[in-house]
Amino acid sequence: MKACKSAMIEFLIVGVVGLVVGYAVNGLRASDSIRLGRNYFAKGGPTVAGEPDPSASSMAEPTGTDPGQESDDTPHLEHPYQRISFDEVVKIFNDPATASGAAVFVDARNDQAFAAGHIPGAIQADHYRIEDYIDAVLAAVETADKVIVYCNGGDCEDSIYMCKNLIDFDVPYEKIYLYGGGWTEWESKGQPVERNEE
Amino acid sequence: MIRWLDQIEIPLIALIRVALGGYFIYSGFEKIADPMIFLKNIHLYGMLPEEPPFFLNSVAAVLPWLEVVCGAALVIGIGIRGAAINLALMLCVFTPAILIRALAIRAESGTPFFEIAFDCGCGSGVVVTWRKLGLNGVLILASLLVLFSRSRRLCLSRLWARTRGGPALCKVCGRTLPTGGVCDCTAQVDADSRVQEAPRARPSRDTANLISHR
Repeated sequence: MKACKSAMIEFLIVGVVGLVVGYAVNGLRASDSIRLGRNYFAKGGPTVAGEPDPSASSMAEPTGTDPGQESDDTPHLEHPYQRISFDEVVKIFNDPATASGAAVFVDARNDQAFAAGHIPGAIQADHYRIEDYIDAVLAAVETADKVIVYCNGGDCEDSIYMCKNLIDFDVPYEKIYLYGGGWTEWESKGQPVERNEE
Repeated sequence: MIRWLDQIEIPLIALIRVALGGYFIYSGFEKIADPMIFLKNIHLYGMLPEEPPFFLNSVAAVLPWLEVVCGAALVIGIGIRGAAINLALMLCVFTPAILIRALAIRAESGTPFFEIAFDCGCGSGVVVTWRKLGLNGVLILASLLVLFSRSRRLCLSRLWARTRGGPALCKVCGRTLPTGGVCDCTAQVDADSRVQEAPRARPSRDTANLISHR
């Protein structure tokens, strides 16, 4: 019994030391710290007439600029944002107006993934460190008609959270399109890629 | 069996303890290098609520450091039992979670169980699930071995007591004993702090079974 009691006391002491060190280092970290009160996984979405509703998470109807377009291939990914298919993304990418800022691609992945390869001309906006990127993103989307947000694709939901960030920073819902196929589909279908040199 | 491992010449338990601690120090720092990836991974398990975000975010911020502290305690040899309990509890929570997630992936995609691989948030990137479950099983066993062992070889706590010139410590169980005292782990301490096995049932005559340990 005495041995059990001392073992439990050791357990509590080691646990408390671990907790204190963890919280202290997280608080002292300049970058990469986790903000304890921030919900990093809010999907958000609009209610009526474009007003943002942070609690909404219903599935949006598939949209496309032209009827009969190939539908988004990630219907299992629930989110309330406008969906855009691979064909539509390619069409926008090749549109000469895109080069002059009519459409902006926003890459919601981290530094390492972005540097390894991204859609040419895309702006990086790591959702988990949004404060470091939002100014550049807002400057670019201010004059754009379409903002196409993507991440890895498949089950990756970082693009959904990034769309919520854009809504929170007053980017109009009508401008935002979520490309569900993401980087994985773009690269696998032989589209142009851009890599950051080390 | 643990008692036997404690008393053999090779400090096997001490080596297991140091290896276990080293593994968790490495694993903890892998997660600390990019806390956001660890946060994303534990979110995918769906074990903690998103609202309020404090709990999920706290686990992501604190758990890696708890691993490092427990690992360091095992390597150095302080608070061994407490560290072993903490690690065993963490493993007992995350191992079933990995299994449940693997079964969910199998149900969703039809992938055979032994081919399922995903980033479980352990700091090693994408891992094959059945191997990870096997490794975790070994780690749980090692934690329990260290927890129930009484060996204090290669421990700072024992070295600290020696340096201070305190009373001799039993090498097997680490408890402080008076000279000539008998430890209930069947060891007897002599004046030079060498551990000797206690005499057999008739202590007044039977001294032939004394065994000295270095």
